[in-house]
Amino acid sequence: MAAQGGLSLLDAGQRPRRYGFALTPLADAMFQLLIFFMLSSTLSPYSLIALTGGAAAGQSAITGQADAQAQSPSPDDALVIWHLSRGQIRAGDQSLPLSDLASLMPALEQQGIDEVLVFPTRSATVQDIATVLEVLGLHGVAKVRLVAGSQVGGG
Amino acid sequence: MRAARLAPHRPRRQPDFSLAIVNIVLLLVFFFLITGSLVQQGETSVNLAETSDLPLERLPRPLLLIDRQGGMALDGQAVTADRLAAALGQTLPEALYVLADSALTADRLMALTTRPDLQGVSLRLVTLHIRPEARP
Repeated sequence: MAAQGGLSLLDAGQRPRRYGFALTPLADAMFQLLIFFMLSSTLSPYSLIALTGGAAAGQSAITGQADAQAQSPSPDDALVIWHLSRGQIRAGDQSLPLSDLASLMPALEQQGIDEVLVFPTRSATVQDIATVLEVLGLHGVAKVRLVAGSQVGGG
Repeated sequence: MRAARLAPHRPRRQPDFSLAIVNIVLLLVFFFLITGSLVQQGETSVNLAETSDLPLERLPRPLLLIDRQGGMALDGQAVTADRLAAALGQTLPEALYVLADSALTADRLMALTTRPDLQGVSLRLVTLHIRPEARP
């Protein structure tokens, strides 16, 4: 009887209720996520320089073999030895500000230099290393060896 | 006569912009997810070395923070150089990303590259990418 009564009510003109999909809670959750990511993340203004691991730009001599190569390069290798100090680089008796290092690179390329041995002195900083590795990497110097533990005074 | 043949007037439905808003916000969320890097509070405290011509990269983990005095923190946890390998876990990661202060002396950074317990871990120096015209 009760079911019949319900049917009769429905038939009497009540349309079945339609449940729609409410988007407002979804939009709220999206805004929460958006605000979270906007506040907690930084747009990546970072670059990476490989110091070890066989990278093209900037690798240090951490293995015995690499040490041996660094200490006794073969005569066929065209290499230069730089002493890196704060804000400048010294090759032989010539010093050059790091800001002018890029202008030196075409001359190195003409001489066919493909290996650079860098001895950071006590006054050299991380910024100096980054600058040297950036310039050498950009100019396609195949081998860059940073000689660790070289307690060279200077700068 | 003519008016009687016209269709009955139906109330116009208001357009629903909710779906469009959700789409745009979702796109913004994806944008921040892809381009952003989650950083911890202390990881922005050092003045990174600056480069201008290297490609932009994300800031992956593990992150080793080295401040100007040589103090280290691995992913926010203070660590010493001797305990660094142990803090990296049983299996050493393929790469370790170093956030070193630009004024840190180079020999401290180089000392890290020669540690025998970190052999096999590729060290990558994180630098701050600035536009060339913004360089002093």
